[in-house]
Amino acid sequence: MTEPTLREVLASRTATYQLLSRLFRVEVDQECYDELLSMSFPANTGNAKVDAGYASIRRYLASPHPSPLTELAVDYTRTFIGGGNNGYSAAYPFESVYTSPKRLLMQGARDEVLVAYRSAGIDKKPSWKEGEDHIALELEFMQILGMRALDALCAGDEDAAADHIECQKGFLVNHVGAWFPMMAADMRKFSKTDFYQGLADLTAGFLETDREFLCDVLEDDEPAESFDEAVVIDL
Amino acid sequence: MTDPINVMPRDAFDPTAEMGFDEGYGEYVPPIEKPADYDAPVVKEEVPAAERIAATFAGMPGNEKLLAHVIDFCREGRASEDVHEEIRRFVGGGTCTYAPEVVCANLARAGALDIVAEDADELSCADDGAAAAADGSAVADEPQAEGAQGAFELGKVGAPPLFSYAATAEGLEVVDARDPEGDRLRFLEEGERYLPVYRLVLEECARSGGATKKVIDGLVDHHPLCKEPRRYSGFFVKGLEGIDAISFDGAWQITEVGRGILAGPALAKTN
Repeated sequence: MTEPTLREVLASRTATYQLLSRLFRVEVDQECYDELLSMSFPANTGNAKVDAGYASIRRYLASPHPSPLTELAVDYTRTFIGGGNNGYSAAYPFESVYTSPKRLLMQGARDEVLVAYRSAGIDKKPSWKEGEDHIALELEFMQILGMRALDALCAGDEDAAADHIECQKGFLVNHVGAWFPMMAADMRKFSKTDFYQGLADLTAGFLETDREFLCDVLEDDEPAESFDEAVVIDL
Repeated sequence: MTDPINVMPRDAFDPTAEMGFDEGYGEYVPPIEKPADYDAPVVKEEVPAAERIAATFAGMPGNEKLLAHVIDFCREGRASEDVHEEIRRFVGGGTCTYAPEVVCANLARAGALDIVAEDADELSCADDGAAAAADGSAVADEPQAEGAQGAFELGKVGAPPLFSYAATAEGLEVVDARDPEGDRLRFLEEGERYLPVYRLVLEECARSGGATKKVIDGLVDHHPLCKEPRRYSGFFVKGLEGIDAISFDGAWQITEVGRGILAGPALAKTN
């Protein structure tokens, strides 16, 4: 059994960020549902939250539901939009809500992530009408940085790859990884389906493991013949 | 005015300049205005199935007969597709706001129907397998493959699982408590004043091709009994449809129940 190379790990991480971003962005539609049914989910990854998250999501998909898309859409609305206006009625998917004293949107956190996006040469599409500190965008930003690191590594530019990974680590530590645990707690409180309960666990656990991975990768000072062979990750 | 997208050289732009960040920012924990709201436990109130079923019936006005019919149809358990098809047949040319799947989902949530997986044993093994895998223990029965990274995988779900519906005891209680015959008798007793009009409408609906709204309007609009209080065709049509005496299929047609009422003693005395 061969251990994964850094490229494989980067590709896997990028794909996971892409999946998580999609599930937070909008409700599950037929195309997404069919794709989830065709996926194999990892088990025994070493992180209990990730394992529990994948298990919950798979349990939902494997259980019979008369109208799964409707049920998931209802739970998405219940979880992320809610029915109240007191700021405590849903797991609002915005960093500003969890990092501003009055739980408001479009606060300092949004400005900060906007700076991060633009410094990476990225901006939101005009069709996106929500704030830039939405969890889906932050996860997609991590995905884009991961793709850039992977591309740089494949092109042999290890310095550029390291830069992108460093940027990922900074964003994870200072933004998405810092506030998501609070949103995950709210998700567990408001969601009623195994699907979104599992998504909370999966995302929280994945961000934990990713933080450890990025710290391990960036703290590896031993010289190696190639960056690709130097780092082997046990998942 | 939005800034254009520019990819600036890394050295020329410091995105954190003048932002006032310090070393402690990474450890910043946002203040929580109402900690009790975060920590308050979620209290799940168990509402009895009978109440939930009653609330579902009340919350889907105009669909009571459909809901009762679905529960009755699932008395011995039926495949999900058969139930959905039966709902479409029951609605026929009419309109139902709810898709068949949503009707069944509402009844299942209310406790009037049970959802039974096609292969309950396999489903329960999969569930245990998933939970055991989450605990890190090896699972013998679950079809798993060793993934590229050496970790076990939970197998693909593949197609949506097949399942059937079975009426619950609480659901059947609601259905069996319905008394259509008693409802008809009460309707005719309470509407005794308008029995002559009902007879005219039923006779017209019994004709070949049924009766259109225009024809029923012609019977009702100038009838002496409909002048005070003023009654229109909709009042009579709704009442007769409610007791299943007439149904709409391009035009209002009399049903077997309606023929029985027409030939019965209640309307005979209006001759």
